Amino acid sequence: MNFVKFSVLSFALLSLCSCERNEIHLAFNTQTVAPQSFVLESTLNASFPGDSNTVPESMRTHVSVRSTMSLLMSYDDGSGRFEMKIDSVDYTSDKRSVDEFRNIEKYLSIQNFQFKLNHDGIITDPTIENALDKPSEDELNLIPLFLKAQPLLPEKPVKLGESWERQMPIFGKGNSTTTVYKTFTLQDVFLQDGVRMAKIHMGMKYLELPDTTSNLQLKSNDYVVGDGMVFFDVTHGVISSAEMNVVAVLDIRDLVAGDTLPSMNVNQKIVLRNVQ
Amino acid sequence: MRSSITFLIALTSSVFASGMPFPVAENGKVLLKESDSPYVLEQGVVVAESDTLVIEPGVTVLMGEFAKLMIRGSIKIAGTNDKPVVFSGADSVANWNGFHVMSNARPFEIKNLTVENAFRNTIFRSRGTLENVNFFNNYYGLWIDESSDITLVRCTFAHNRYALSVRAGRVVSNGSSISENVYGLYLETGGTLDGDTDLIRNNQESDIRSEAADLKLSKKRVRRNVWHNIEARF
Repeated sequence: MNFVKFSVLSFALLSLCSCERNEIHLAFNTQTVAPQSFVLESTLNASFPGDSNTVPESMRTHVSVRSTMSLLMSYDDGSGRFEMKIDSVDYTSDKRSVDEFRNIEKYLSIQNFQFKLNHDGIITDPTIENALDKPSEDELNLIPLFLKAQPLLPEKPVKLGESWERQMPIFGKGNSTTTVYKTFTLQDVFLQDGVRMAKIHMGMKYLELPDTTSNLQLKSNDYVVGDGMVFFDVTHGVISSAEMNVVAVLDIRDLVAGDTLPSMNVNQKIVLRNVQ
Repeated sequence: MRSSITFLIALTSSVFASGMPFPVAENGKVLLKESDSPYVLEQGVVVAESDTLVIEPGVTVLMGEFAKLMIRGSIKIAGTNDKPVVFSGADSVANWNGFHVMSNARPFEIKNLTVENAFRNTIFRSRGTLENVNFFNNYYGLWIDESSDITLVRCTFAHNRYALSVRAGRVVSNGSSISENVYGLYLETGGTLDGDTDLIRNNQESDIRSEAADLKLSKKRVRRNVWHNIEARF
């Protein structure tokens, strides 16, 4: 109990001392944080322009996930091991049937996962709790959605207007890993209902590289880019909300059909809200 | 408090009392014996590449709502006419996920099996023979993908929504029947079915459909698996 009090006090003092120098220390609370409930929503729109022989086509999907993040264990190095438990899932797509919706909701609802979170937001070792419930090749995976919305905080205190850059791996199908480059700017610090909040702009870019083990290869000729905003609860060291809008233009090579679909436009909006 | 715990234990016992838990591998073999049947599979299980799934005649596996049987190792399901092997949903209302074969180690051998009430059963990058296998009341009866050497001998597909789908592969049908489903055979890109096609009949919406023909008719170009891959990738 004394350790808990000491951690909370240290955390508060660190924030306060930094503010006195017009700097703010941003850090996740990985030592004493209470369970947090989140709603994650992802809306994906993809469109393919038609030509003289074909009509324009599009897809729209939406997934809404309610989850609870709990601290399992805190480590001496300032990191913590967390569990993200999926409480409910709601899914729709105009390219699938209602029966498929229910099947997807069913397998996503057991995708509880654990991860190690550093105080700067770096997430390592995200693993589905029950390895047997890992998604199959063509099944949806919730972990990358959470990782895309995750802010990475600066290693030292920052002033208003200051920017920082970080990179993180996002784990995809099989053993593939994509390095995502994120840039951040501290735009504002304000009090809201007695809670110190930081408003942070978040940019993101990565290259979509083809999966050479698949006979359907998606490739972006330029960076997939993302732009969004994070509201970080500095007082409690948790995300209040995060939003990321992702834009990509993909060439899709179907080795079986011997066909390449050029310039598939993809837009994704990811919203993460703390609903504690 | 003690009565609550007792009630919880009793409730848990009653849920799992209807069968033996699906076994784990021992000495490279996952063996399901008739004497221990029925088995119950509540969630996902993976038969590893190094293991062999062996199922004796007369075995029934009752699948829970979240059950997914993923087989990466060798397969020997040896039901008989008198004693078929049965994979069925434990709950007659809710679908179970399905069985998924991803086994390129050696050809699989599946004989006299009935698969009921699954959402989707798949064979991916594998080869082998299904003999006298009955796919009944599944959403996707059997989905074969990237498998160039699959033989269906006297198999039956009935009361499925989509009975048989083939993509990027070749299936040979020998006396197999696809009847009384909503959709019969669906051929996606690079999928072919050779052999007996005269037993594909009396399906509600269509007996044989081709994705390429559907796309051409509607002046579209993007195949279903392309949309699904974009979604899985993002």
